[in-house]
Amino acid sequence: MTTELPLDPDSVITECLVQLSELPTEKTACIEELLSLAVAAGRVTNLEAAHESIFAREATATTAMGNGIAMPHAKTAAVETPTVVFGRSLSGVGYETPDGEPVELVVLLLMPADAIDAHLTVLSQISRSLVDPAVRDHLRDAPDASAVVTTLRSALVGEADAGSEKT
Amino acid sequence: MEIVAVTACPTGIAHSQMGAEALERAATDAGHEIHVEVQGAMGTENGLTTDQIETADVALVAADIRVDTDRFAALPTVNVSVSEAVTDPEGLIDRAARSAHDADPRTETTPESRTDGSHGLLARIMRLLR
Repeated sequence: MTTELPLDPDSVITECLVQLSELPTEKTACIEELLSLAVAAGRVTNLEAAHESIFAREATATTAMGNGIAMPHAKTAAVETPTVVFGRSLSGVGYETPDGEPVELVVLLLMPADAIDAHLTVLSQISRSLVDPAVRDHLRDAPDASAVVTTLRSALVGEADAGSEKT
Repeated sequence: MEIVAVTACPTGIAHSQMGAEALERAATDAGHEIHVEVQGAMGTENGLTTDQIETADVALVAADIRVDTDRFAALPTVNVSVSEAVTDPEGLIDRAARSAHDADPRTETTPESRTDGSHGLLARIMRLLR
C-alpha cells in the first residue's frame, strides 16, 4: 500500500447530486439526466467524453445489477473527483434486468481516469452496501435528498447503520 | 464447509463488488466459511492464499472476464457469470455445497446419509431434481 489520501465522503455525494423526482423511464434519457446533475454540480469537465465513456461501458454489458438497481459507471478523465449521482424511478427504468425486477434505483458512479485505489475502494463500498435490502429500502423510501445523502455517505465509510439486521 | 470464490468484472467497481458481498452474506447465512477474491480495475483485492485454497471444499468462480482457475484444479469448481452472484447468491452457494458434497469421497459417511445408504442416495437424487 502506498500512502494514499483518504477520500472525503462528503465530497462524493451531495444533495445536488440526488434527484428524487421520477427519472425518465427510457434508459439512455435516464442516464443522461443523472449525468446532467453531475454537470450542473460542476463535476464534469468534458461532457462528451463522460457521455461516451459511460455508454461505451453500458454497451459491453448492461449495468442493471438485479434487485432493482442499475449502476452505470465510467472511469474517465472527464471528471476530477470521484462522484456518485443518485436517482430513482418508481415506475421502473427500461433496463433489461438479470432477474426481471424493474430498475427503481439508479446510481451513476464517475471516477477520474487516474483514480487511486483508495478512492476506488471507497466507491466500491457503495456497490457492496446496495446488496443490503435495508439500504435499498432506505433509498427507495427516502423522503428527501438529505436522507439519500446520509444513507450513501454511511455506505461509503462502510457503516452498517443504514440498517443491517443480521438475524 | 469452506468455499473459495472469485468475482471478476471488467471494471471491478460494481458487479464484482456486489457479487462478492452477496456471496459473503449468503454463505455466512448458510453457515459456511467463505473467502472471496475480487478482480477488476483495482487489480486483485483480498487475494486467495494457497492455504485457503488447499483447505477449501469447493471453488466458485463468478466472472465475466478471464480468471486463472488452474489453482483450483484439485477442487470441484462452479463457474458462472458474475451477475448470477448478485441475483442468486443463495442458489450458487447451494450449488457449490452440492458440488463439494458429490466430489467428497467421505460423502457416504456424512450424518445425513449415514443411517441408511438408500436414504442418502434418495436425498441426493431429490436434490438433483429440485
